Amino acid sequence: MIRIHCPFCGERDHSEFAYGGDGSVVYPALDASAEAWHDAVFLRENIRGLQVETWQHVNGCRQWLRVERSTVTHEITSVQACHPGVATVLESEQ
Amino acid sequence: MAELATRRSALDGHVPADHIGEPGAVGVNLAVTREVQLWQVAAWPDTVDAVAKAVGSVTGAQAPGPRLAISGPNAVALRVEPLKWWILNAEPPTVASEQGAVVDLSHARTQVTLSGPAAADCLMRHLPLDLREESFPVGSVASTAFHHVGVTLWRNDAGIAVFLPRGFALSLWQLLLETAAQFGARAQID
Ligand SMILES: [Zn+2]
Repeated sequence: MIRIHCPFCGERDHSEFAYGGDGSVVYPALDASAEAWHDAVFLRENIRGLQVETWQHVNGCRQWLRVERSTVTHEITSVQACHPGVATVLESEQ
Repeated sequence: MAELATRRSALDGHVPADHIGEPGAVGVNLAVTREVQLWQVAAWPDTVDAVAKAVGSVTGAQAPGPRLAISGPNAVALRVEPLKWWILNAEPPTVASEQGAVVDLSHARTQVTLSGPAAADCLMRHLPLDLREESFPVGSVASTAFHHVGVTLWRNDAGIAVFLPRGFALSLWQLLLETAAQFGARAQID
């Protein structure tokens, strides 16, 4: 069972979260080539180790979170709000 | 027209008058609040301080930080999300549209307050949270999933208040009654 330390709600159960996907993908410009879009949408590394992921605390504070998780041990090494403005708000209130 | 203006709880007609389940002691008391007045006040990331002030001006106290409710002399405010507060049973503040948004959720949520020695145990049969008083003391606020439905909890002096989305309230209420039966329970609406 994965537990994620939400920067707003505190440590919460995996069942409250929805998995987003690979958080390291940088999407190309809207007018980029079909090939560039194909690669951004479909091509993923199958990482063994630390991976950047997005998770939504959908049954909690509803924030999108950027999570660093080991695919080997499930250990989570960092969590922060995806929205830089929200991240700043939460840091100032810790 | 008067008929239309009359508030009707989602649980009206579904609150048993008799003792529920296990005979003898009452482990859980379930109290439905018929008339909830609930306002949501939302900010942008760069207007949080200004909107917090507006929330505080209504309650007469500081606007609560994450996971907290703060009762002022006039009203209580709950911090439900990084950019959102709920104000209970008071008129909302005036917030300019550039600063944030105020939404009336009075009819969108059904409030049930659980009290009694087994109140936390009863809820923890369903929720992935530790609701014992030492980890969820008076003034605590949390949102979580109850049978896949998002609900918000607030522990106050009367017990643990649960805000259920109206459309799911009856179904979740039936689950709560069924779970409360093993502890012995009473229910009321007022
Ligand atoms: Zn959260």
